[in-house]
Amino acid sequence: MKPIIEVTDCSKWYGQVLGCASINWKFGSDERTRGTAASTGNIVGLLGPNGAGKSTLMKMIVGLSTPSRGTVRLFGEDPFHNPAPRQRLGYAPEHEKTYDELTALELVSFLARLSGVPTNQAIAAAKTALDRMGMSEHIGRPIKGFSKGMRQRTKLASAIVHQPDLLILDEPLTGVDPMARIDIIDRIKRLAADGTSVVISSHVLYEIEALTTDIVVIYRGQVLAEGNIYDIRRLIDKHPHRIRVECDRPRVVAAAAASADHITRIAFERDAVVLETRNPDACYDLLGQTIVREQLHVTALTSPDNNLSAVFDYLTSGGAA
Amino acid sequence: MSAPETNITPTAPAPTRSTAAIYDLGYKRYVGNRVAASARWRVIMRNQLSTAWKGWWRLKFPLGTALMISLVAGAVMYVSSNKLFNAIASKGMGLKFSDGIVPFSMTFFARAGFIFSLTVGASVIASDAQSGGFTFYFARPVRPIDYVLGKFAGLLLATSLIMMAGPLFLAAERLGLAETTSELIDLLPVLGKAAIAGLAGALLYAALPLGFSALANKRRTALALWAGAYLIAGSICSGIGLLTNTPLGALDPPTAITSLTFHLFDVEWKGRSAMVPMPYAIGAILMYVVIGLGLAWWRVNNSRSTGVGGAP
Amino acid sequence: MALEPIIVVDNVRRHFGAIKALQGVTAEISGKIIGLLGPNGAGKSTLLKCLLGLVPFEGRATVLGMSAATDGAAIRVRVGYMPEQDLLLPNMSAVELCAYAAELSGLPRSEAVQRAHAALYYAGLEEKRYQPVDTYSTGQKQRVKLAQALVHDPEILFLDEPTNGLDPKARAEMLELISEMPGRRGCAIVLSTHLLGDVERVCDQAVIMHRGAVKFSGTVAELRQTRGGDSEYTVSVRDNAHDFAAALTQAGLANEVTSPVALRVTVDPAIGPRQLFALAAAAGAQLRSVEVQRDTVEAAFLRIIGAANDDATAQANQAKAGAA
Repeated sequence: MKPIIEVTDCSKWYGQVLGCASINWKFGSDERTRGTAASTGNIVGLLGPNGAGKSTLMKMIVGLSTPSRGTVRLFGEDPFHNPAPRQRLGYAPEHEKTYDELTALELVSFLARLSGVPTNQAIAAAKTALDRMGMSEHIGRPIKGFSKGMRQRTKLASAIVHQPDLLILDEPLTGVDPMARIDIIDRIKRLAADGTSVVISSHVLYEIEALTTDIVVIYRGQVLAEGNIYDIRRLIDKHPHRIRVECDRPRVVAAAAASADHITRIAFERDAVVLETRNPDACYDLLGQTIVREQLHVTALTSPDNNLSAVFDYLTSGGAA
Repeated sequence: MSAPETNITPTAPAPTRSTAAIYDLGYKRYVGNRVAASARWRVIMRNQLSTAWKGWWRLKFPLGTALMISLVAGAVMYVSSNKLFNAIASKGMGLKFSDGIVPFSMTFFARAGFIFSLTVGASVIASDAQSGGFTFYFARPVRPIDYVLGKFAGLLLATSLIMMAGPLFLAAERLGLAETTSELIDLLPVLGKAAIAGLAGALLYAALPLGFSALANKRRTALALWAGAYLIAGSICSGIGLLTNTPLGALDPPTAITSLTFHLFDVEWKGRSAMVPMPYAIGAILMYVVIGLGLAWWRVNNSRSTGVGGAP
Repeated sequence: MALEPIIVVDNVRRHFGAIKALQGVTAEISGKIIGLLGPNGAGKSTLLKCLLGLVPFEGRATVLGMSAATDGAAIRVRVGYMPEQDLLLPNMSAVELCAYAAELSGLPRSEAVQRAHAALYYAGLEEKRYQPVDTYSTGQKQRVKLAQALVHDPEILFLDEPTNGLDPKARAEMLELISEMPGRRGCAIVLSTHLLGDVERVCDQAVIMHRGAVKFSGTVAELRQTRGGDSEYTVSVRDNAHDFAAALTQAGLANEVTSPVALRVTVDPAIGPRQLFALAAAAGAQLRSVEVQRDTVEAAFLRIIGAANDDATAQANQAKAGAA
């Protein structure tokens, strides 16, 4: 199965400024079996500090620029100046000045035609796309009067109007209020369930977490990590896992933990103890036994760094593992 | 990344001399005086002037032009003191170069003033609107009057340098070229006249561009509007006025300034000229100053409640 | 910082023609870091403008004891504002800008320059401060925006979407700065944002607005009331949740499997969650997390806005029925 995006040893520099350095990345599998139960699109989060090379990489994938070295393949072809693979791609960039005087329907059908939808089907396709984004009531209104949430939805509609197999979304939720946020996240999930693969780039980590557990981290122009968040976490040896136990006698827990050699650090908080361990599995077992044996009143057991925010932090503060 | 803060108080050792100390660098609130609101405009004025002074092209270039004009005119005045100016006359008698240079040079100083309005004046308010400066100013305790007054004062100081310094220098040179003491005394009013003409020019070239800069949200639009109005509309008015022998030319700023100067110095063109009578010249200048400041005031008041805060 | 309210609004109304931006906003706001939340068009920015004394309104509003209707300028001396949109003057360096800002707020020249540097240190802008702001990255611009809001030593800061455009690390740093400010600089903060996760992280109070009125005003803890009164827990296990669910059901505890490794359980309030560990040990399951089920700020927010929407629809229907 061919990957949808295949980046091989790709580097990009502008004069002295290095955008990407030897990136190797494969994403998705190009099966033309949409709509069957077997095909669910993947969603992957593309993360990285500003200036790390994420946007440079996206521009190359989308065909807006070409690598200085190496290759970028979209659906198996070079996307630069090549409309064929780009017709299966929907791209919603971060900043977009639209033609504010147009109505939503006019804009989306215009962009549909630009994306290769035959003219006689453009309006119908635009209506469907806007409907999928929950904008059916507003299709006749000029974009000038739209709120940020409505603009983002219109942008998304124009990215899906030609029924692409791959969606690349750059910060699709900026400025969108909480209700619209949840709604758009939901719609993206539904698009994936229907077979579209989605690459979403965002700085707001808990939004990525709401959508997917697969991430790619770009740091200093290279792919630093990729895969499932929890698997990545397990691989970060340098940072032992933190486990927090909130209970009535934290020192009892601490005493039991102190003698285990996978424990690297013990810290106390009010009514709680935070353990750091190199072997979380053994630690949880130890805790389970201690709690039952000592009849401890536990009110909470959590792992403060088993989330995307902590993983990202560990990865990008001076390199990982 | 935040300011270091230590709250350790040193404990004095038993002997009388302590040999170490750690100082509390933490945050201290400001408990001093605050400058009165009525003096804020001076802050804005100083800022306007220092912004104009940055770079070689904003104020320094037109100032350099004015300086050059002064030097050239001064040289001409010196070298050809006794020859007669053929194009212009005074009270029916031929006018000498040394007497005619001061009023005649005003046309050129007006051009330097116009250059300044292009590099700075006509983009002041539009630039603030474009960059979000209104939010910057009005989220603070700055009143519209402080803003307008401060910007105007800053521009006025700059235009005064351009349009008053030169003429005053030339007037002084004229006095210096006087041959007798009584002639000198007779000529003293020339200094006053040069100052008035220069001031009129300075006011006009500060206020009217400021008003135009209030008409647009983008620097370039404001500059285009100003250049268009000044050059094109101005020349049209001047041309029509010349052809039809009406004082319509007073609406052309450089014509108004030059006419005012010529009248002050009792100078006439021989034959037809674009000059307009004194009352029209003064009226036009005053009208433009009022319009300019009025537009600025209106725009700023308008923006206060809408331009600040909220989603774009 | 204060148990006394720092901002008091009483039936504040503001409309432009037919649009009612604020329809009777009433609240007493106190606390250290207050989140101001609401959908677009709820009136948050209009409220902030009213509090800064920039637009006329009906009703009463006081900030730090001063009336917003008459003492706007005095309020702006003591309140700092970091807006969402740009406000940086071109061709000035960060230091010049902050010193200018301080002077415009009434500080004398020398004090202004000193405080400009101190504010920039606090905001984390180092050597870049001497270069013109036009050359800054988004993160650096946000820091300057923060510095110019703090430079004149305000007692309250209004921050509008301060983490916009920042990458995760800068975002975390900004949030940390914000959470330290009441302690470090003795000022209270009103944080207007759509990112409810941020609110959960730093705010102790919240005010929720919808369609020009306040729908909730109180502590974040109140907002996130525990559901089911402290006996509903979310639990995650290492292995199969269904196996553990069976053990729980056998022990008579109501439960629901939510994912291959997670469940919701109702425990016996007399014993508490401790029994879960005993049951897990007996069933051979390893518990990985146990937490009381609490509304996130997001869930609470949606609940409140949803209820407000229902109210509005009900009223509209009533009006229609009345008219018919």
